[in-house]
Amino acid sequence: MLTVFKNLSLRNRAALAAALTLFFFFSLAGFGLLRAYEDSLNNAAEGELRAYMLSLLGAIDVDEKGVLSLEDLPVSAFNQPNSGVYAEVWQKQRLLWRSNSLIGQSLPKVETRLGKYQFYSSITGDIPLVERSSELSSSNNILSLKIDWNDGVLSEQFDLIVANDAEPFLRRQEGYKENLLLWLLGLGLGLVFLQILLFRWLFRPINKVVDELESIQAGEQQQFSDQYPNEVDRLTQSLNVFLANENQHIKRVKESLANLAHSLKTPLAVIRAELSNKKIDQTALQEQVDRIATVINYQLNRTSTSVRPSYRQAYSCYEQVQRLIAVMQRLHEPEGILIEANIASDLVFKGDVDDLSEVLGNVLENACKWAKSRASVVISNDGDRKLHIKVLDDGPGIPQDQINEVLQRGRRLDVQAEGQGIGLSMVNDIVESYSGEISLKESNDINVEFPSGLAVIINM
Amino acid sequence: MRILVAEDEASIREHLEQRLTEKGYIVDAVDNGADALYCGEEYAIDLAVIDLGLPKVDGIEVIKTLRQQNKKFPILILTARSRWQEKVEGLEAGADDYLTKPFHIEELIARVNALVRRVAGQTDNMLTNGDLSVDVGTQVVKYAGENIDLTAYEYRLLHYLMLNIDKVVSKTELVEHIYAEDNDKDSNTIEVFVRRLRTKLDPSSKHKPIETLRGRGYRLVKAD
Repeated sequence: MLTVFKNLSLRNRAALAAALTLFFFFSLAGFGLLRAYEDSLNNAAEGELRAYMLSLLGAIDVDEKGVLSLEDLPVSAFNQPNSGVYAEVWQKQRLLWRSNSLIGQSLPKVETRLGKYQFYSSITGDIPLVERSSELSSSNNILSLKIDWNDGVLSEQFDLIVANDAEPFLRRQEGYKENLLLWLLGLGLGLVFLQILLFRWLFRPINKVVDELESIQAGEQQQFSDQYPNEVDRLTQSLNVFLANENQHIKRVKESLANLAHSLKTPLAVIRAELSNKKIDQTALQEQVDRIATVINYQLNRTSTSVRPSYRQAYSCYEQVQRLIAVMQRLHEPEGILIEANIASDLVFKGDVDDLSEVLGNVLENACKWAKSRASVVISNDGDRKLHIKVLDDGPGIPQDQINEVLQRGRRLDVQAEGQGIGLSMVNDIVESYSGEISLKESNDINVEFPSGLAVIINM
Repeated sequence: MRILVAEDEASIREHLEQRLTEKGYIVDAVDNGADALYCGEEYAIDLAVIDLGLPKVDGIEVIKTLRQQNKKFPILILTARSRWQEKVEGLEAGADDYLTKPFHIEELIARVNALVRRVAGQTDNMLTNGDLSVDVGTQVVKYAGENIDLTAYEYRLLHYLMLNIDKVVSKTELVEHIYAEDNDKDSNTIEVFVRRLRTKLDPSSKHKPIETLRGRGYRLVKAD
């Protein structure tokens, strides 16, 4: 049973919850309305009986001998048999008078209180009887009153009981109850139906997400469409970013593997050919081994930069950047190079901090290798969307026609600079993966102090 | 100059030991972090080459411990991890330079030479003092333009004195820095090497580049 509820769809859960809520609401509303109607019926019955009681009181007379008589009753119904209006007058346990409408029958004996009307309704339940006699078979509403008769001739207490037939009231109550039930049932069913329609409409985007996800899994589409309500749109857009990253990651890994295979097979072929020679050329072998090492290093780094979470978290990276610059300063201080840093203290990077370290490390390392004595690094945020890195140096700068070559794999402009020549290519790859920009500044683009430099913009 | 090489890969370690010895260095080669710590603490090490992925005690821990013990000799780290984040961690632990595997042995020797020169306050491979010059890269020693032929021990002795120009260097210190650990260390032979060196550098005994300070040691006199 529990499993059934656990497996209920969201739409069915919502519909069930709405149906239960409506059921409780309409039950309470029905109960309240019925009670209110019963009260109004009782009030009407009591009002009618009080009028009879007053006419009865007006008709009571006692002669000189102390005998009670009721003459000239204004209500004719008291005199018509089975009229539905009845009355009795009692003195303690002795019946003094009974209306002609009660031929062969009697009213149930109910409690009376001096000077106070006691109303007993058969609409709302059984009448608490003091004594049951051969009472009326039909349901009746009863009003009782005890009066203290003292007119100088007679001093006695009398119990007056009037009753009327409750059947008409009960029929009206039953009719009302049936009508109310029908209305409430109709209204409830209508509302449940409306709720079901509403939920179908509400859950349509979710069903669409599920359908589109199935299509994506089946390879029928690449991404979620952009026709979603705002709340779901944020989810589908995030999923689209995730899917795009996944696809990009797979593409990069495939590319890396293909490049790796291609780049390794050529030097391996050369080595194999060289080993088959009678006289092995050590220099040629070393050259190919170096080539293999460079390729492996580059491709491993390239692949590792593509391994990053699809969801980009914002990191406060001021401290991390300062640590890297401090280490770089220590490395290049013996060469007489001074690094000037201007880093925004509220620097935030929305991505993998390791990538930022890689970009900054390689760019700064490059600047320090080319610098004569000074390098400058400025890092700032453009809101939370872009990170600007500008690294300048007082070195010779790189001619425009060689800019693109520098940013390619394994390209080194001058053997005077150490390294395996893949640093800037790595930077290029990382920046590209963030849809950023990288550009080598021309000599006169910056200033006299720092004629050479590199500007990197990373989109976050 | 005494170099500690801590590398667990036997072929790399042996190759480094051989090539650094050829370059005139005394090499203490170990294959784990615990032995590296022992050597760093007990021997008069001038420079250490430490692989980060050492067994028993991690390379970073070795460097941190040595620095905590106020060992100030330069440390070159070898690492297969080429990401900057990892390099920063190694350098922050107290290393002075790093080299990413795979590396050319020539590049490692160049870095070692650079670190040694850095300690001595020199800027290039050529150590000079007046007419005397020592090319650390080629191990060519010249005096007044003439090549001087030196044995391995004589070269080590001169190299160490050139890195400590005008400083008093005791016989014990010289023994620690020019003899391998498993050699028979006789401080009297230092006197023999110094005498031979004087004869080769200054056959006429006019310039007297190496002074003897009785009971204290020797000093390579700074040329005017």
